Amino acid sequence: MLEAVSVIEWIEKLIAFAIILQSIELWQLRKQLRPSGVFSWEILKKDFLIFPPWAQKIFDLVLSYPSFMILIVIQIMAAISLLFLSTGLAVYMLFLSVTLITLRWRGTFNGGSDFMTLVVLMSLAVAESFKTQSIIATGALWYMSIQVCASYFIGGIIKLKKSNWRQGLAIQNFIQTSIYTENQLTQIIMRHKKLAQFVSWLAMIFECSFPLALLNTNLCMIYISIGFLFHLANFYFFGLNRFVWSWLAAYPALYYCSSLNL
Amino acid sequence: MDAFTFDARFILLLIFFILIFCLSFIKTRTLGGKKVNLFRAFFPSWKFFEDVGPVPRLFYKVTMQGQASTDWLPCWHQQQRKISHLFLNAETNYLLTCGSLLNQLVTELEEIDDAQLDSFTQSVSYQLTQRLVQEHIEQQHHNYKVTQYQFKVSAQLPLNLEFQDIFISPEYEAPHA
Repeated sequence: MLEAVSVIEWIEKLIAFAIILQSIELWQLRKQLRPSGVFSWEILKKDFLIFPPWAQKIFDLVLSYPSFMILIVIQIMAAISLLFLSTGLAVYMLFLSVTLITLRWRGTFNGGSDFMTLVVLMSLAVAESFKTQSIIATGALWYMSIQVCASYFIGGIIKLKKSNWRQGLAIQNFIQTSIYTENQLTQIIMRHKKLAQFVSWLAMIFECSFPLALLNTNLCMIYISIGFLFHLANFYFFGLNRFVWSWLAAYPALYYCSSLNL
Repeated sequence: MDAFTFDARFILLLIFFILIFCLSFIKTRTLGGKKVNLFRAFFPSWKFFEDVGPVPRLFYKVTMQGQASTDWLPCWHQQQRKISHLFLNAETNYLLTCGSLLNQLVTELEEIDDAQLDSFTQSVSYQLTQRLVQEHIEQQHHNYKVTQYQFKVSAQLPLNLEFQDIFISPEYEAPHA
């Protein structure tokens, strides 16, 4: 019988791993964050003039260079500590640092993976704040599970409504305009419309049926396995590596919820 | 495989996802405002790859000392796939962020009228885009004395992939000219 507390510990380790990778990537982009870089704070801080002066001073202190790089180092240290120890302090620290980093990048750095990272961290922060109350931990795990299911279900429904997706044209277009160069596999999909259509329908059926993963643990394992492959495919075609690790961190919540008898 | 039972969980989930399905037919208003935009990571939108549409692309041209200006050159490049990118993919993620920047620039341009074009060039999105062009010019033309540059944002149309100009900047003096 799975315990919410042990599931939460697993999620903490997985999200800590995801955040370590995210942090190293940001460190590698430090040139762009310098005053002479593209995403210079000197330009970006104009977005923050909407906040009161005291808040602007705090943002200026934390998000300017090199303070921002210190924040990334602190984030890495907090993530490493969460990898080995389940502590509320590390979770709160990561929630705060990830939030500040999304602000620094004008809302998100990588869209969906930031959304899921924050969903996981918010849930963990709530669970850690009420550690002695297992019902809160269970609620946090349900919240994560519902968001994971919604991420696939909503994605599937909106695709199903578009004729370009039903005909396979959308997937061909997205592959054609991908950040990655063409290769044999992408050329095969581009040349064969029926194959593109088949792949589109596979994706849509998988996404729309994903909530079934909550019904029992066997179904859950099947959907999680396909989900992992789905994200690997998105990485292969579109370079979305962060999605793999952010969603993986939330999967244990899904498995736990599928194991419960209501 | 465990037996499938119509328990409370199934009914609640069914109701929840039928609700989401019905709500997907309602046209939602896009919330604007800088504060909402900055905190949008807290309002997950799971609408990925919703539909094909024009993709904004950045082009630039430079004038080098004693020469005529170049043709419009692409200010982006595609990446080669690597297994290691599964773990660390900084450059690709950065390019994707720059793509989002262009999307935001185009959105802001669509929201203003001609009289506001001057203030548009002072916007954060415009200045970040200008910096992006300057950085690209420094990387690609560092062996040459660039005196002036200009950039434009064009929409790469879906399916036929042709380009349609959206915005052309004025000419600027190169930063280190």
